[in-house]
Amino acid sequence: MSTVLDENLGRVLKSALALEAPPLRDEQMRQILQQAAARRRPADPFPLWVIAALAAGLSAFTLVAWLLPHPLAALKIAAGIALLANLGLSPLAALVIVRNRRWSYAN
Amino acid sequence: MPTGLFSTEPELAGRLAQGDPAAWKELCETYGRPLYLYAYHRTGDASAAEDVRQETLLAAVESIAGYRGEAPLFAWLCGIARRKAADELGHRGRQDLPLETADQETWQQLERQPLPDELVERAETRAAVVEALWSLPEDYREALLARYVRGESVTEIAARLGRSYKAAESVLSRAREALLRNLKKEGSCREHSSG
Repeated sequence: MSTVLDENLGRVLKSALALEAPPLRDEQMRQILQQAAARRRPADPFPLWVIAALAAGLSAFTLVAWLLPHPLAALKIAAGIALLANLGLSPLAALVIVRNRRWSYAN
Repeated sequence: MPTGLFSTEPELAGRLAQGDPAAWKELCETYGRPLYLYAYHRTGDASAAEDVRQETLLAAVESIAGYRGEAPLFAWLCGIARRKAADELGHRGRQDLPLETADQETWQQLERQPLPDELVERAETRAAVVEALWSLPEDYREALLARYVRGESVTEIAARLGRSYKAAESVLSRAREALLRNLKKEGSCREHSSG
């Protein structure tokens, strides 16, 4: 027999685990990029550089080229920073690369 | 005695501190998704949640020496994520969400009366539940998810855990108690810190 506690737990757990945010549609992504481009002044760096996936087997040298299209570009590794570790980099090396190459929103 | 990651967290932290790549991968794989969920509930924004997740994992590696094992590792990560979420929203020109509603009284109601939809769906309720759930030992979490999210019977849970029916019932009972304890503890901490 289901108790009040059972019913409440079912509801709060399902609610907490639900991801209401659907994936961005192509049209939404174009709109976001257009808005970012419209805000950018000519001298500004690229507003955002998105890496959706990193190829396996890259050397650390090649990886840096992938990560840095512009010294001031914001970097977002959409596939997750765990990929850096999958490339064979130590956590600290991965950390240094991401930290040094990432342009903060605050700046 | 429950098994799972809970008992091995100090060991994982030690390996992270030593720069073990396998430990880094384990951290990301074990806590990446719940951290995203937590960050999503804190920020209400999928893109901000992804950034908060990345920043939290990076900050955790940087400061892992500060983790003493006195609290579950996920609760410690949530502490970092809370600050990162506030920073992220600030950088985006938005205020932190008003997350003041899930106090002890909220969790007392769980056992007494059906919770209003409005309370169940509040961001604070959701974030607190994610934190409390992933701060449980793995056996407990798995039993709760099986029962309340996937709707499995006690017999099915017993088979999943490789235990008897009675033992599965016992795990479920202790898991419920532990979850409630975590929720009430978190509500209590929040009340004290805000009051």
